[in-house]
Amino acid sequence: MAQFFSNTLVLVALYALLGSGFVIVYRSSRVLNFAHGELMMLGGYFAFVLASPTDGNMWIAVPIALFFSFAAGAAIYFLAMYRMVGQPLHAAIIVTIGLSILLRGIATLVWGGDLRYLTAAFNVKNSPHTMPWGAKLATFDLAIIAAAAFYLLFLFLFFQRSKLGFRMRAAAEAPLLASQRGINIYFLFALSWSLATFGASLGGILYGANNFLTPEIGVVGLAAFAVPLVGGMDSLKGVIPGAVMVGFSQNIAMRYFDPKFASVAPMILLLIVLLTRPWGLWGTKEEIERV
Amino acid sequence: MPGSGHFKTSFPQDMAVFDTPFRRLWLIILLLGLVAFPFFAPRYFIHLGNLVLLASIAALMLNLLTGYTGMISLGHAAFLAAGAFTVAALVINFKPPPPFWLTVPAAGAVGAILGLLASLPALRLRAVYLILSTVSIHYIVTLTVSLYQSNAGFISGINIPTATLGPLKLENSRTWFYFLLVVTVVVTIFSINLVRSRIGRAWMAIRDKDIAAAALGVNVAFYKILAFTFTSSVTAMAGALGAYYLNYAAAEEFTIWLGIFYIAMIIVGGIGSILGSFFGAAIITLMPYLLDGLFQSINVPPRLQTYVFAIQFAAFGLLIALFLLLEPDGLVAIWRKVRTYFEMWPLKYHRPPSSTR
Amino acid sequence: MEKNQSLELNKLEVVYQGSIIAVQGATLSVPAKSIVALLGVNGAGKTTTLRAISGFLGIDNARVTDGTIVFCGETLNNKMPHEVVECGIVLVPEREKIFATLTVTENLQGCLKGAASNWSKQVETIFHFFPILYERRNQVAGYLSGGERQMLAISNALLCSPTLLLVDELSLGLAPMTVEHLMERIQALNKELGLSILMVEQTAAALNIAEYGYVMENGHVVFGGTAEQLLKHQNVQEFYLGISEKGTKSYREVKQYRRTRRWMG
Repeated sequence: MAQFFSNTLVLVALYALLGSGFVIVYRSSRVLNFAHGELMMLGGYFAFVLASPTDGNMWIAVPIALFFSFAAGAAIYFLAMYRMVGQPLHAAIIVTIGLSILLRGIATLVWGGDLRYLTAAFNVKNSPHTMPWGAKLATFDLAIIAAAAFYLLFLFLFFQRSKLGFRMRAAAEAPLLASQRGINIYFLFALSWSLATFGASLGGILYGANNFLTPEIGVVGLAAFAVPLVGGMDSLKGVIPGAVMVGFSQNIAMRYFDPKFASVAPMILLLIVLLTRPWGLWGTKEEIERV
Repeated sequence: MPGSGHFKTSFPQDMAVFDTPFRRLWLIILLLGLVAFPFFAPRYFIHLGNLVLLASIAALMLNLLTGYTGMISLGHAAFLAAGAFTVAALVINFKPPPPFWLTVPAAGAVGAILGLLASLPALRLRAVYLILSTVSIHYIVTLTVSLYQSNAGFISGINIPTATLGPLKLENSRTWFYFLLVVTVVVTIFSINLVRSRIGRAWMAIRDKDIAAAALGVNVAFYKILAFTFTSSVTAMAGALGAYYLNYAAAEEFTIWLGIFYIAMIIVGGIGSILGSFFGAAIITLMPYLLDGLFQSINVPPRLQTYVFAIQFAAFGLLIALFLLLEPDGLVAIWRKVRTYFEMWPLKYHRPPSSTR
Repeated sequence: MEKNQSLELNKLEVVYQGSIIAVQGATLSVPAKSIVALLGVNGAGKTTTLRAISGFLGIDNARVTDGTIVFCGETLNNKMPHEVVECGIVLVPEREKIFATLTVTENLQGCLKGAASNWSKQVETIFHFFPILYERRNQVAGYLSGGERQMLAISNALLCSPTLLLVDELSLGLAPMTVEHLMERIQALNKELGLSILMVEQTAAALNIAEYGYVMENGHVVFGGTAEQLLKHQNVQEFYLGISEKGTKSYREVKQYRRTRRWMG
């Protein structure tokens, strides 16, 4: 049982990393990013590519990969989403869908469909450690949990302690007015995409180290949709409980019912939340009225 | 078109569905072309034509739901699946299998019930929230369908017998083409008139501002349910026709990507435009085949052959994204620009009548 | 500051969606530290003119296709809104003028330009001009009354440190008393802070505080002069003040009259 809880905790941490990215992008531009899972995949491959030029030194390769992801987020914003400010919501969402297909295709093209192991590329061991409570967790399991904790802490501080927080909310609510008030909305939106991509690729690198990389791992992103919704689309606070609920529902379904239910359990959870408390557990109620 | 050389002098003229000579001319050319198409086109092309027609019906329905009522649904594949598997369930559980004219309406009924259920979240939700509720509906329906398929002992799809409609035996693609053409034309004319009627106007009022619509006496809940129920029902029937046409129904066909492709169709074609649904259905359905043909014609070196699929996939994504970046209103907007250009020629700008603006 | 702080529009032309002309040949000027009123009926092109000055976003699908907008010797044609704000021109829009989900204080903080150390001084000025906002400072802006919203909108604009304020339909949907109060505040802003103000209005009431006035119709500026000249002008009296020799005219009559009559001959 302790093992079950520990394994679920790892999944929860991964979902928290991904889910917070949805929230950041949604908060700044009201766009639901369907390419988020693919951005995670891309981060993993960035690290994979950097393994050989850095002689397999993880401590150099991973920060560079993360920096690239940060830049890639802004690049995607300026190449694709830039023109979508204020366009109907559906158009922007479909652009992200197109992006996700494109990124997947490019990844298959460049790296092929084979499984790639980041542990092998960096020649590190993902050895198990026995926890005080008796469960066994691998090195990168612990790394995912630590990364999620640090990333979320950073985001909290960033949004609470900086004027950018208000400005992002203002720009999301009325881009034109924000712009007329001298706020450079394009910069803010690009920043939010960068932050989100950064978190996603952190998740992707650790997922790739823990498991493997294929161009298909982006589907994890689809299940992660449920996270921000359960917690509240515009609420960073809600990400953690959202991730906990989604992670547990998925693992419980897998363990006690059919494994086929595993991908559907978060969706059923999502539907229940949507029907009973559509603005999410921690979201603002005005949010749902306004969209 | 204010400012062009074509004027309307009576009210019936203004109400006519195909009002300008330009439109009538194009419509006649198009219909003649479609009727003649199976006579000279190779069988493979007729097959593609059938796929486009099937997609058009479902895309048109999605456009009524999304483009006219403003409810974005990524769960369209679920309704197609429901239709196909209603037929499949009827066919494997009854001996002899129930006739075509019975199973398709049955699929429609199942689709309507499912649409009714799917519309319940829509009464409270909008925008992103509604999209996600349709995603979860999609997963729940497709899980049910795939569990049914595996429990019934079929590994990859359930076979469906050839459809017969009275004396007509729908077995070759040419007969199917004419049959589907008639169905599509009927559905289209019905839809065109539907959106011009009280129902369609209520839908558009809800799309533009549901609070204002409610204030004007539109029963928002009723019309939202109606939109979901009606479009789901027709979509399920399209799914049933598709199952008959392909002679099998397989749960694996109905992925979330199919739902996404349908949304892509109406957006690439033009959201809130009936004509756009056809443009979009044709482009998205044919794009993989076009890319395939393109790759075959340029003789891809064998080393790269394994990557063809990946290239197609990437190109597809790129095309969707590019389309929306360059023309967010879809193909139909390009069409309108071209049409306006010709109707207004030689004038450059068109200016709204009187002193508005 | 610059020697010539006036705003000059010269034969401005704005086209929507690449094909619809909204403003054609609008020429007007706003001298430094003055109040100028721009009058016109619905759809005359006033709002479009203001939007053209304050900058369009790509989504507006509108462009300045001809003519020039010059402020402080700098040409502002088709600049981004936030770049225009840098130049010192700030718009108080007609609708969507505040961030409705943020509180009053958050609204003001979000709009503050420059260092945070300016905050207390700036906000003091705001509360000096609009004391009611101080009482409402912790409320969500969406729950403010129409008049308070307008005050918050003007305050938001003031925090962008403008030299020229563009005010779009100050009186829209407000009680006459409130409008009078706001007009008086605008005048105070002009006097105490030395702001130039360009007001767009449907009624000639704005001429009471303005020094100059322009009249727009059908995308053209058809008449311009000092406020007294406009108030005395027969057509302005008929269309915007509803006064004529025969007494008050109905809307229908005015409308018909407008179709048959040409401005300026």
